Amino acid sequence: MYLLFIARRYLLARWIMSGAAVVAVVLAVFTLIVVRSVFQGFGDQMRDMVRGTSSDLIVTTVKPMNLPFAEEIGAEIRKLPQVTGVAPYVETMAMFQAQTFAGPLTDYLLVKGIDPVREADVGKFARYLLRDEELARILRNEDEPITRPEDRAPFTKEEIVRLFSAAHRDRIWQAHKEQYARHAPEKAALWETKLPPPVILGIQAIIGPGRLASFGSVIQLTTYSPQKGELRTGEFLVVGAFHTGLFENDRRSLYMPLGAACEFIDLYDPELPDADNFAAGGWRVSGIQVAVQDYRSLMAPTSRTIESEILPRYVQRILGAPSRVGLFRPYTESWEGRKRNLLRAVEVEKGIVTLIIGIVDAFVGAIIFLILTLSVIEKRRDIGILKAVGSPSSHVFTVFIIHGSAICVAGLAFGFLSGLAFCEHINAIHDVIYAWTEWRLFPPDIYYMDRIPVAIKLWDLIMISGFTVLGGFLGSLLPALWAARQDPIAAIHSE
Amino acid sequence: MTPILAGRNIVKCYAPGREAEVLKGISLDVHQGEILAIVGPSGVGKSTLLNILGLLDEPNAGEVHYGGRETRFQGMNLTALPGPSQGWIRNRLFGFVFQMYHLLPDLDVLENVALPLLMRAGPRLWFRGKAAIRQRAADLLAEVGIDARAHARPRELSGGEKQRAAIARALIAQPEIVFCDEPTGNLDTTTSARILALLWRMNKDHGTTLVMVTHDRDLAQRADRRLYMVDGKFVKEERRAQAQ
Repeated sequence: MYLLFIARRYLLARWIMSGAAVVAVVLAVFTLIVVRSVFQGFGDQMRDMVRGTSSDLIVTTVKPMNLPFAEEIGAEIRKLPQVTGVAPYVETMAMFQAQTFAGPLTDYLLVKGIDPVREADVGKFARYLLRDEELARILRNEDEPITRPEDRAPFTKEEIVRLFSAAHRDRIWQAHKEQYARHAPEKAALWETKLPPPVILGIQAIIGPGRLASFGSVIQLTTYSPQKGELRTGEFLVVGAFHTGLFENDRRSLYMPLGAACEFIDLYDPELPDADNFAAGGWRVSGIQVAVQDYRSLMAPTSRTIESEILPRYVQRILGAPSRVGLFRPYTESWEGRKRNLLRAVEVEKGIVTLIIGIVDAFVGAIIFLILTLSVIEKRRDIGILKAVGSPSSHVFTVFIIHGSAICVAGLAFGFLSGLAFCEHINAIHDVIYAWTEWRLFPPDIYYMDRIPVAIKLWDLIMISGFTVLGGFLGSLLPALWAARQDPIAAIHSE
Repeated sequence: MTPILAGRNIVKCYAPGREAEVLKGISLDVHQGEILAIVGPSGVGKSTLLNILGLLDEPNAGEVHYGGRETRFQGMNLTALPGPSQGWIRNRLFGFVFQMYHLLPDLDVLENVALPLLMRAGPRLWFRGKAAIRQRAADLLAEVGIDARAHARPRELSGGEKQRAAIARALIAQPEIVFCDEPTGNLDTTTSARILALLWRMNKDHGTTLVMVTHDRDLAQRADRRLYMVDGKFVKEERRAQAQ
């Protein structure tokens, strides 16, 4: 007990020095918790968002060929017991054009043609869709944070059908046609007789100063047909918006019905041997999305089953067809495989953060080492006195280990509290800084996300605590050993 | 009569191999209850000898034998004991009074005095016996006449008060031997006289053996026995009766 007593006196006697060391440890632990939690949150949210916009698996084929027999293949895959959803899709890049008061606006977008109802079975599509009232609220106040997809009630199948229905499209057109009648009466007259197909734009494309289009407007897209090698242009009516939280997705992608997409890209292939199997014509699609019950354990076996048992039958069928389709090479790919570059970047960043943790913990150790070394130098005579009145070396060693540990534990405790509190309110703090300085620390166009993600993991806290205590102990060890090895007479007579 | 402490052929050199011997094979006996003064000019090795006898320093050769009340160490060469055992002996059997007092500056006077006993206390004794230890320290402070300064820090005390506190610390564990290294070296004449009177009273009241190093011949004259040291060797021994 007297060791605690002496160590406490040493701590309190030089409280400025000890306090400075505690502050250094607090800052280190605080930084570690905040950085690690933000990066963990960033990684988790990135994976979550990427996974939400992608299905567990896709069945596709080598480019530039697209996948025939989509409905047949999809139906067979759907029969597998572990498969929970199947949805064909079309995906292509397109140039976006719009006439604005300042002149023509062009940009690029990722066009995704989907079967809206089945799309909801293979990802988080139903959560991404914005209801009219939420969309109206966002459009009224664009600076207000948007509810996260996971906090939003998913669209029901009926709501999805209604969103893409002709009636909804007509209602949107009726609400916005006045402005077209004023500025482009010929077009308005044309669209009045035949409405363009509907599209759902990402929310970031219709809000903010850099908006590409407005809700209820008609946009023009241009792309390239892979089947015929021709430029394809189409006009589409913006009937809704979605919000994934992944800024790039919400800015540069749109959904349209699968049939409209196939027609837009011109994926009709009359030479297909089973031309009647999809949408009453030989349409190809970019691929088939597949959702499984537990992607971690079932993705790989499902992929193997599809590649070894289902796809070879269709390859055989294709081989009997004309030479153009002889290039058909279907394969499966996981969502992690498709997004491997992004996911690897996140993993690399996490690895760098872990390295930083090591460096910061070494810093903690170095701070404690320096403080204790100074303390040993300053207390050298005291060490001699303690030894003279009977303290064994082990007691002197323990006094300095307690001294270092107390700095470490106090710093750890305050660092934990402040770090966790900061993480809890990080977005509010960010908003205050932005309101005062108009400086955005976490620009959504760079980091893909509109809010700073935070994920506090128990394992991270254990790791930070463990490494900090280890750093503190190692930092205390050498000075404590040095103190313990002091010769009492030399120490007593030291100046 | 078996000496309470005996040094045999003690050799100490600070630069081995260069014939810089400070102590050149010194032997001496310290008897129970006596006041022994080791006298000599500065630099002859008096303090080195005291430190070796008090197990604060190690000799290059020679032995220190113990013959006191602690039977498990009787007849043993104390310098060959492991560090923890030497610490145990310094804490319970020996006391030290230094010329520069050497009180811990971050503890108050009472805590400095109580330190040797607090050091022994495990958690149970710490909580149950701490009050008794503090009371004993307070009693000793009263005995040495500085009970009013019990809660002062050492820097707030005069030289004489510090030395009284150091003496109280040396005595609190009821040691068999107190080693005093120039105990009045830094004090004025009046204060020195008071400190010496205190030490002599302790010797008389508690039967504590005093081994004192001094170059003050007047102080040495009051000791029971004096060993004169020159150039690392004893050259003369005097007893009080003989001297008188």
